[in-house]
Amino acid sequence: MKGLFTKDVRLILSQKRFMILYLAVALILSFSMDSSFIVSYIPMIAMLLVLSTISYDYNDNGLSFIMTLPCKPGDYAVEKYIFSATGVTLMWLVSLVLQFVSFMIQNTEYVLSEVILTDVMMLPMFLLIIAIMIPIELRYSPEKGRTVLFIIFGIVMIAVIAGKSALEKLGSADAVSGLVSKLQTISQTGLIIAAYAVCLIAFSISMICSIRIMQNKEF
Amino acid sequence: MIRLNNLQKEYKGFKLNVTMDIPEGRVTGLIGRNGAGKTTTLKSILGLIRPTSGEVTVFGKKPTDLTSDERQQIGVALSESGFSMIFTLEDVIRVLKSCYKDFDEKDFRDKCSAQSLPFDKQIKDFSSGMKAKLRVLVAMSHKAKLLILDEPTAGLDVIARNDILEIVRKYLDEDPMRSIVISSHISSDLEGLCDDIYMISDGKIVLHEDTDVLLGNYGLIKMSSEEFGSLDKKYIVASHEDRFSVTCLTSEKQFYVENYPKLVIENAHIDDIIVLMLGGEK
Repeated sequence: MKGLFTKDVRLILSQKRFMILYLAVALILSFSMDSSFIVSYIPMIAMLLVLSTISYDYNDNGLSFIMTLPCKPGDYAVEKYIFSATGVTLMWLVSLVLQFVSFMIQNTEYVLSEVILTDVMMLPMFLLIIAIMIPIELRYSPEKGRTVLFIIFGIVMIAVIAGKSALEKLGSADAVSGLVSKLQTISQTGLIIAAYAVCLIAFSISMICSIRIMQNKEF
Repeated sequence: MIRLNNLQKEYKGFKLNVTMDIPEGRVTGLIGRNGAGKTTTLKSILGLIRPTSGEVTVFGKKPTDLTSDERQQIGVALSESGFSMIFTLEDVIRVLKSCYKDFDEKDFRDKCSAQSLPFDKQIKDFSSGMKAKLRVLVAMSHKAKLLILDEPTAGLDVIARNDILEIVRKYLDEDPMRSIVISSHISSDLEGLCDDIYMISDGKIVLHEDTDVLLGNYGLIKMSSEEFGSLDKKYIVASHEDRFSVTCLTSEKQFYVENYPKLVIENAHIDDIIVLMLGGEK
């Protein structure tokens, strides 16, 4: 599996121009505008970068060769999760540092508890997207996977809008706002623990699915 | 070392059904037209595809059951598949170093330099010949006991093909117990390299013979239709009749040299054997 990690790190480093542009934009944004944006921008681009390694593996029929290296298909899936989670978490930590440096330089006034809640909730969100993306990309190939993902998001959006209007018609809008206000009463720590627990469960289920997908795949 | 026992793989419009036994220390060639089933056979050996039925064993185990250490003993060069095109040779070296405990960096660098492969260029900027040489050098970079080479010379000019075959020969000279399974649709590439050759057509093995026997015992007999009618066909493997003559392939050239001194009998090259085996009547 060490070889797979090295391969992915070298793939990321091979995209030098994109990396330089990415870091330059991150720095400019950190010190020129609302620095809270940086905590979503940096991990998001990191997420796209780590997931791009799957596309590079699929390009030019490369996956067949990768599967002849001393690793098993299941190892490939596990490596993608560890690599993606590590990459995004590291860049999320970098974004936190940049954000607080920016606060200090720009003398921004902030409520620490609010900033922490927003920042800490950002990581499980990206990990959740990774947990959705990896099995879809492995199952359908990255190109088709993106189409499948758009379709899924479309269906979810339609379902949410339809559900909301149906509830409003039924006069249950109060029930919805009641639920929201109930959620607001949950403590900050409780919300964070719940978000990370959901993320961990989703990540585990997703990894098991991806291992099975790779084990059943032909190359 | 490798055993394929009634291996079957079905795709829409294609069915592979092969039985092969590849012992240690042999160079075995797989020859056949494009789409004959060579790559499917090699992918089955590597566990990249699952057989519909039958059995494949490598080092006595199913390919999917091989441990990481056992997989380190296999070097692979697939046609049109390899490391990412955005990699440079330096990237390839780092990855190989992490993958294989027996990777010999100095030897690999020397061999790449000897083939004039640039270390700082991305693979996508390599010529076809350079890419093919790199694939073969990567397969040999970790002293594998078994090499699987799928069409390593396809689409290359004669000089690049000879370079690659020379690299393979040198690899064999380093350790005679190494085994190679190599596929090609270019017979001359296999003639001077392989100990034995499997000829594959439409997913079936139509001939398996030692190369020495193929080149030494097989022959082409050219004659008229009348002569063909009275010919003892005991050792005739295939024949082809056109308007003016009949050409036969025999597996016992000497029998006809001794018993039919008036007939024109020539040595058979593998190309002749392929043409008659795959195009003639058996």
